[in-house]
Amino acid sequence: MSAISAEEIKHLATLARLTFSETEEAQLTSQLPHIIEFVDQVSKISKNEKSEETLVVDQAELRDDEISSQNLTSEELSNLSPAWRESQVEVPGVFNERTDD
Amino acid sequence: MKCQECLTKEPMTDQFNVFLHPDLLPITEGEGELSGVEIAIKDNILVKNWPATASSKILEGFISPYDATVITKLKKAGATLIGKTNLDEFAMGSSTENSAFGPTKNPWNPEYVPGGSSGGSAAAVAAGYAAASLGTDTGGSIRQPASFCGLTGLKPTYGSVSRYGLIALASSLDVIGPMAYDAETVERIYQVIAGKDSNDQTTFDYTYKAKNAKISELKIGLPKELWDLEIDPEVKKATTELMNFLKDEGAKFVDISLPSIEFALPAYYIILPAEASSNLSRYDGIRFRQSVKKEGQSLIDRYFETRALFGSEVKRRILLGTFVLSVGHYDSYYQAAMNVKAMAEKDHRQAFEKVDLLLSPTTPTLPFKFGARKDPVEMYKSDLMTVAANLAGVPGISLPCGLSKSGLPIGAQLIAGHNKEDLLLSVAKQFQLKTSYHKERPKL
Repeated sequence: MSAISAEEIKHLATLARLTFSETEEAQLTSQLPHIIEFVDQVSKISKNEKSEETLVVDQAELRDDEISSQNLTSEELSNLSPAWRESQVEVPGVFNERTDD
Repeated sequence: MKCQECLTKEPMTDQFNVFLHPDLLPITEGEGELSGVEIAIKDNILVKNWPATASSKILEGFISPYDATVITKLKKAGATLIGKTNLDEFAMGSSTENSAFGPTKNPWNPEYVPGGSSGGSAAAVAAGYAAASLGTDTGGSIRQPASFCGLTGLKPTYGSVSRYGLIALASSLDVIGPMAYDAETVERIYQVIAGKDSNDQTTFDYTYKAKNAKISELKIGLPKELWDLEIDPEVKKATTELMNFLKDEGAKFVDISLPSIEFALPAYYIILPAEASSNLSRYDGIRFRQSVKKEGQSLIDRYFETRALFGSEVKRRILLGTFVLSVGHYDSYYQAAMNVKAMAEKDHRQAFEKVDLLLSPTTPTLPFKFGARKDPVEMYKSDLMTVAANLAGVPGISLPCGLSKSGLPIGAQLIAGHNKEDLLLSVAKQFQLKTSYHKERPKL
């Protein structure tokens, strides 16, 4: 079984910006190792099977110019955000305010 | 093609929890080949000025500012959009039990799940609320609920239908497709929604044209890796109805092996969480409305508070995705899974040099009762028969082919090569001309 500890789960949760209730945490601690053991079956594939092909359709990937064909108005955009001030989305500060110790 | 039941059920009583946002008024804009066809839309597809939640609390209150390309096409063709349907949260599930707004019940027996993740879309048609519906299929989410609800469900070739305006789950696998009782209605809708879209660069030039396939000239493969799985005897027996029809029409059958199928499900449950953990990082409480401004709250605290609104299955998959993409695990898991995906594409391409179609049950089991699959891995195994087609990007269809002794629907699956929807639908229509499984209806 691929081991994953409760500490590692907590670290992954922090990376993914997730919090868990006590019940969810207990479930994850028991279920996640089982799920990882299940997906670990892919490791049976020989390294020799490695292929450069990763496209699912039989064609080269195309990159077209992205031409804007429709635009949302400021009002429509403001409706999509929780806070809006002077035509801009209002967000909390990224850094805490500096305090003098 | 108008859904007669819809006209006689005013006001509609949604006893199966099929629809989200029940106050929406139907939309009919254009006139064309789908005039009079009432279509229910899975709630992860954007319809302008309608809510879109993907059955998640995190998107509650979000109103779509534009139409998905498939919706623009349906409107132009004269279809009537009648509402948004329930799904597993962000399409993560196989039973619709993971919806934040409660599970959808199977109209054939409300003690059983309708399948998922497009369970609401399937139940809407099965209950007669809509003539057809749109679902999405990332690992079987159209075909499995179609099978559980007695419908015809088409998972198109990846890239043949635009994903613009679809709330992303796993972008390299997601595809939108139609469900209805009969293949003819499915074909009419697919013809409208398929085609290149400048807003989705994974789409390609493609125009669907119906064909009349000669079944007597077809060679059909029975994938060993699927038929060797533990399959419910009633499912196996019903699937042979389709086999017998094709044999009677002169098709030849051969056993065939696609070794990648053995690894398709574990690979899928690496690729999907990896892509989902990235796609769902956008739900930060700043975009898409959900979060309340609090004085003194830091940005990071706001992220954590907002993302606590995700349900347990979504959190589990985001965490799994974060794990398989993390340093030290990327090569063992994600790269290995991408190798399986490449193998699946190669296996299917080689298979379709030898045969025209692959045939199997759509699911290994009958529909199951609510709460019957508490272990996540057991639930993931609902996708055993369907997921390889998503990895390979090829089209598949589920056809009703019988009822169990307990009166629950059973579906059979046909898979074809890239862009061979015409072959799938031609065979499906011919099967349905000679049989009446698609005419069975639940007693409501």
